[in-house]
Amino acid sequence: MAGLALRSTHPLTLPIFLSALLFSLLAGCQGPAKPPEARDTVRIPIPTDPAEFSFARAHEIWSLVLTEYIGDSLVSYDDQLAIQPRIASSWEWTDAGTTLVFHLRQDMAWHDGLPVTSTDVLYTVKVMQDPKLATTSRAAAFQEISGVRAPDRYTVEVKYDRPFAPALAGWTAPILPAHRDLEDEEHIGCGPWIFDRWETGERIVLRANHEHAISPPLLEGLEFEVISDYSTRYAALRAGRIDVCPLLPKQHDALDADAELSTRYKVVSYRLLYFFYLAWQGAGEDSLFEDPRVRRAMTHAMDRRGLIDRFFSGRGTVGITTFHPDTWAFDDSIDPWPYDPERARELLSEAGFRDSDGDGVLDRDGRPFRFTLLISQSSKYNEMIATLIQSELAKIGVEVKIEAHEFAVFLDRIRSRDFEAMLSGWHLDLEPDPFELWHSSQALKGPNYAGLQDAKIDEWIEAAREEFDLTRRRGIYSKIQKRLHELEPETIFFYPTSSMAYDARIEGFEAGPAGPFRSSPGPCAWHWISSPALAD
Amino acid sequence: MKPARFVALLLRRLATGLITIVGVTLVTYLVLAELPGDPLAALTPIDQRMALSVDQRAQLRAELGLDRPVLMRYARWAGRLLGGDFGRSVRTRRPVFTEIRRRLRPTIELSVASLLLVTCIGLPLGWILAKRAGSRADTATSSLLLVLYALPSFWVAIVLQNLLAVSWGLLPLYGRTPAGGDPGLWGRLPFLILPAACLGLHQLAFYTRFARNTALDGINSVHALFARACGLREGRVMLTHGVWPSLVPLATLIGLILPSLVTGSILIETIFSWPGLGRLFYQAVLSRDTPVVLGMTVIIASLTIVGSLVSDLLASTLDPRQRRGKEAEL
Amino acid sequence: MTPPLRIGGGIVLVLLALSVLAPWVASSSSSFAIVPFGPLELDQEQILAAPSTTHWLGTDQVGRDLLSRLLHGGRQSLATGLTATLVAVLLAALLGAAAGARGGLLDTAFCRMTDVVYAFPVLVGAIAMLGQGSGEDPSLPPSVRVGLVIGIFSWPVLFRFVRSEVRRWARSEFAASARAVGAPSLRLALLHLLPAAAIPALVPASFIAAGSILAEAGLGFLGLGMQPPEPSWGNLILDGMKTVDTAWWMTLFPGLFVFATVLAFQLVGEGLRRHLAR
Repeated sequence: MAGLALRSTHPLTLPIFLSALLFSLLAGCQGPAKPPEARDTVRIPIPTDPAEFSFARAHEIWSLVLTEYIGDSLVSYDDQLAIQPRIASSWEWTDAGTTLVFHLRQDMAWHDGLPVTSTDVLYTVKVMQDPKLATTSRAAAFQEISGVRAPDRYTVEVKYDRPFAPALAGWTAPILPAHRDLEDEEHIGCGPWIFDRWETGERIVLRANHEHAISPPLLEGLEFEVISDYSTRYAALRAGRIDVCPLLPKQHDALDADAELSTRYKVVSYRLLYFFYLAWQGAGEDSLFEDPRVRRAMTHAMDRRGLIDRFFSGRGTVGITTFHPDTWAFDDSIDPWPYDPERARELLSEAGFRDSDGDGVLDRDGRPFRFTLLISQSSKYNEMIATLIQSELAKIGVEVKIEAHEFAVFLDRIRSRDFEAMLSGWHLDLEPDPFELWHSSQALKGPNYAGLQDAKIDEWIEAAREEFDLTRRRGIYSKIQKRLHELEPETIFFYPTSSMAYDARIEGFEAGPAGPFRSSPGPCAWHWISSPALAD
Repeated sequence: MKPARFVALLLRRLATGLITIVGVTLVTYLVLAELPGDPLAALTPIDQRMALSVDQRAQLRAELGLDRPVLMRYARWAGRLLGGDFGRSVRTRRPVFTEIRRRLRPTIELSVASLLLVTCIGLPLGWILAKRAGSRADTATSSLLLVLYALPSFWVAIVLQNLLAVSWGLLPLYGRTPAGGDPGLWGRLPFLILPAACLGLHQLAFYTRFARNTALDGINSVHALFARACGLREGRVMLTHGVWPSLVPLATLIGLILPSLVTGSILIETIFSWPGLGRLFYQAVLSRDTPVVLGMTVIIASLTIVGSLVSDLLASTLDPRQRRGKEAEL
Repeated sequence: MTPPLRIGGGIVLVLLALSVLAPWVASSSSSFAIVPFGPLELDQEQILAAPSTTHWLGTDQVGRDLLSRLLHGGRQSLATGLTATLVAVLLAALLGAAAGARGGLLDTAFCRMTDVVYAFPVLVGAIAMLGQGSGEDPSLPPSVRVGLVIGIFSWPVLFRFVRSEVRRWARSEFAASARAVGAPSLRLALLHLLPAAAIPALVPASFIAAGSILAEAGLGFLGLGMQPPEPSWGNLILDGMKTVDTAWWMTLFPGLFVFATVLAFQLVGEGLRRHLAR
């Protein structure tokens, strides 16, 4: 029989054999990574292939970004979040705020050379209002339109049933080409970037539309590399295979600490249009959270600032309400509920919760304060934040059980409102209208997951939609924010700050209010420095 | 084997294969229908404005036939499949066939590469070890193989990726082609090394040991002793009593690798961003993209059947003694 | 006892002992504790801390002691591995013996059944059996359920092995003489052929034990293993992957634990093979 596997082997045999195997495998392969040579394109990582290249059906973030690059819209946000002209050179409201008239530029062309006209706008409205064709999240804004007509090739009149102040924001959506089929594989648009090719699972390549009338790009193209793993993405940045890379807090710290990397790359930090929140299920007979004092107590019990500092390297802002701190509608006179476990205990005891049996867990009428926190496995942050919340609430005598589900199951439970508390995140629009988040019509079927039904808030939301004066609209939103703060239907855990690293030789890279990719002018302003001193 | 009997055998196997496919797809269909979770999850983000209105959801459910009994749905799906229509993906609205076809080539490349690794390195290595059984080289390599088998392949993938690609920059970090154009098969080769090695790692360890042990049993057998006594040279003894018999069970087992190379690559594909079928399948299952899952199931089932047929045929060709018995059982 | 058997068996026993005793060995409230931290306790001052004298193998992203989590995770993973092996061996032995001894239609039916199991997408099966009401089913602990899934999908390999062994024996003079005295074939299979086939089947069974530890880790990687925050080796490896560029200990140690266990099971298998070959 063969010799004895472990005993008769020289201790060094294994390492020697391993390295021999490795080197024979590697002989003849390329050498260590060279610093990337200067290019005229920028490479950006994306986590998966976008599901769609047709805006009418875009429902994922990268599908939206790419269709916005390929397409162009009547108006857009500028870097101060004011609406600026794009295809529409000017517009006016008539008929007491129920008709919106756009005057289109005459020098815009589709990538195949045909001019962009009012016919295309009419076609876009038709598609976006057809539930069979439009499955994009941005189709909602078009449902308010009651009629549209084109008096001539470059004028469009849009009618609304009632005055609708957020209407212009809806027109930041790309216009679709009337002469092309939605299934068209060429993905024709009229934007600053032309669809070049899609190598499935590998990359999407866009090339610059230098003929673009409004913002011709300075680069020659953009390459979106599909890299699903965060560590791989960061490694790809260091190896020079990509030029731009979002950083996790730990990666940002590591990059700052590395002298060589921090000269090769610059980092912009910006508050994401995103927040993590806990929705407390307030509806139902036996809900623990029907009393606003209980919900406020939950918020008071969490040392959110401390947690952000310790676990996210301080990169985040304690949340107050769903109104983003960087938008014009934000009321900065409201302070977040501070970390105050004493106050939390007081509020809970006012609501009837005491530890009457001395087991360390609060109870009321014999029922212990114990609940299940539902999370989805889709984001790596959910489990971490849930664990922290569990440990924070344990300190005031509240027992949390974490239940993690795969995304489809989580979704099902949330949509049927089958949860006690849940943790998730939310992408905000730049338009602050909170109708979908807080109107009572959304309490059972929409994204108002906490099920808040408040007559005052409903009234204010509806009033704000008809108010064209920004100062007065901000006044109404301020009232909504104060009321939300009192009721605390959700604990807005925090607004994370994202860090985006980019090659130091790229100029014109700005964070902007919606992040470097979705703010105007975005990649159109990027260009490589040609100076030889820096180019190497 | 006579041609007529061969054809009859083939037909019989294809018929049972068809029954197997029906069985597998039916069971998968029933399981998918019972899975908890929103069947339109692929189109419903939880963290941003809802894409679909209530009416649209109802309409899509009708389109997918979700309001009909599950057996009727299956019959309709199977009928369309016979006409070559795999249906459309819920997530991308593209035909399932297109989705699969786009990722087929990378999957084949990766599978062939790791199969080659197993057959061209693993088997000869196993035979050489059998010939040198008991030597220090044999002992060392055998223990190394034990070690290789014990390492979780995705863990090895991460460690090797960080060592070879990140720290030393010897191999590409991820992907199948460099940005800026496909350099052809030769240029893509460096991209293939790490994923193929990690994917084939366990099989390499397993089959090398297997080949060594069967070949060793063969050359130590009474028959081999007799052959040597008759004056047969050692090389010939090795070939007829070591190599040849060890091919028979190996053929059976290699037929079984075929499907597992497609589904077993999810982790490796994720780590190396390899654009293959494994990730498509994983994503489809998680987002309840039923048409894609079923399309993939048909493909995996077909591969299993083809694999087991090929390995049975190989085995009976390699081992004349088995023919009678094999045919009886087929 | 051959040395591989002794070494492998030793490692398996030590791991088993540590895992069974984990609630006492690794706990902040036990007086026998070697590791004075529970697997779920957060140490907010030590987040992603490298191995030190306080935390021997370091801490994870929320400041939990890695060694404590590995020991408690071993409980789950070994339970999974043993369940999987038991299920696979039982299914394979019973069905394989019946198929091998009876042959004919029964044999064909079982063989096609293995084809179906082979061809069935494991991922769908795993989600169906693990996803539903995760963690709420009190009848079976999650580790056992994961083991069941793995066992159900891994018996066919063993089945083929048992079946061919039983066939070989069924054709032997021994079986012929048993039949000659009128023993019914199924009883023959269960009472005489199965034990004969069972001993050589121990070797592939040890591979299944090893494979199911790896499979559990793989399922954890795909988010289908144990419910977080409960540790299992699969979950810990997954956590390690997320921090591979910032915390090497999170990647290294879970990998080593899995490696040692799988190696030990293999050594047991290899030892048994040699023992039997004598």
